[in-house]
Amino acid sequence: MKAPPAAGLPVGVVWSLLALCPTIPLQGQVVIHTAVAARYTSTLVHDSIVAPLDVRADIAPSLTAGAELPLTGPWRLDLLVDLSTSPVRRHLADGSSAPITRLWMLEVGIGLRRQLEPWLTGRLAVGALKYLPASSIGLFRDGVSITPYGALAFDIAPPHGAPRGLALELAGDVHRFLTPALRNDGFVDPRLVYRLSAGVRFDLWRAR
Amino acid sequence: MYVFADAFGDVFHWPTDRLPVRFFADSRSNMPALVADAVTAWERQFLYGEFRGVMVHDSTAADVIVHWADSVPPAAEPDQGPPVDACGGLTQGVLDSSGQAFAAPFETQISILTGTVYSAGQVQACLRRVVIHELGHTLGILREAPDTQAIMYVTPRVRLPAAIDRRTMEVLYHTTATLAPPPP
Repeated sequence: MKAPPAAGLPVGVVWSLLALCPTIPLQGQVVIHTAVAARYTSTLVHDSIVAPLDVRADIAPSLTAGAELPLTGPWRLDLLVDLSTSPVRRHLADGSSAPITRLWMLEVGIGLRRQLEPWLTGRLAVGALKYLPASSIGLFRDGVSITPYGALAFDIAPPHGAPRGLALELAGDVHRFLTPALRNDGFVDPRLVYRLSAGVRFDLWRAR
Repeated sequence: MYVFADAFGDVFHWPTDRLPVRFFADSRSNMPALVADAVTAWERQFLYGEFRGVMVHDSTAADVIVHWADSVPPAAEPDQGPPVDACGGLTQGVLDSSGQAFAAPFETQISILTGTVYSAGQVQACLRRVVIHELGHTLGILREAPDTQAIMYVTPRVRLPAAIDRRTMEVLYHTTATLAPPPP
């Protein structure tokens, strides 16, 4: 059986990052955090049938949960799980749109995080993203493979800290999108899709 | 792609606000399964959700009614041999007085041909092809395809919609319709 194309990259990156972690983290250095955000996703498919059309997901609410673990120096390891959902629609050139189905997007990632300024923290992450359509219809009728993604995020917080680590989080990620149904219909190259989100992040649990 | 408009150039397809299209099938023998499979076969031709169908149990709440014309064949495993014309179909849509809209649900009759004796398997293989073909008419392909490899060929030889059927249906559902569907 052919392995999902995304499987190798995240696993390799995970092992590389874990190799940087010299010790078992102390409980006092662990932070469990969450974030809620609104997420924009760029066009998933561009096609032309009589007239041009785009397939896009609506702005989606997203929920992220993560665990920060210490590494050497200023870096911290961030383990992330993220779920978002929204309807996906076809948008026609005349401005009209029609729903196709509801789409859930689940991602699991691992990142490196560090403070850049007293008020600014940055995070680089990689992981695997899975589209989970509510119905196997249209471009999703033959399933969707897991795809790797890369992400960049910034947390903006008051310099002296906020209650519960409250921060404004701005994030973006990129991945490639192509489904077996699209491939069967003649699409060859996966489309580069980016997602942008803005929300608030806060700590759920911080060991003292 | 082949021509989908009728002889007068009129175009019909189900509008987005009428999806899912409601199909009622005669409950005798395996007609419900034949119609459900045909709906699925057509749904799979669309990439962007332009058509969806659903089976209903009440003919008064249906957009398309499919029934046996006369005799009801026994359910059987379809024959895998060369296609034979063991059955036929007829789909009718009646226009209202304006000539711009269908007045009533589409009605499809499926008949078993008796001029030659066919096996139950040959009849079932024919029924699968013909029900898909007739439902293609109810979706808006208002003519027969000239291509023998199309499911919409006058006596369909293939088991499922072909690439040319897919392309034709895609273009149809992105073309402005001139005929409105029957009242819901």
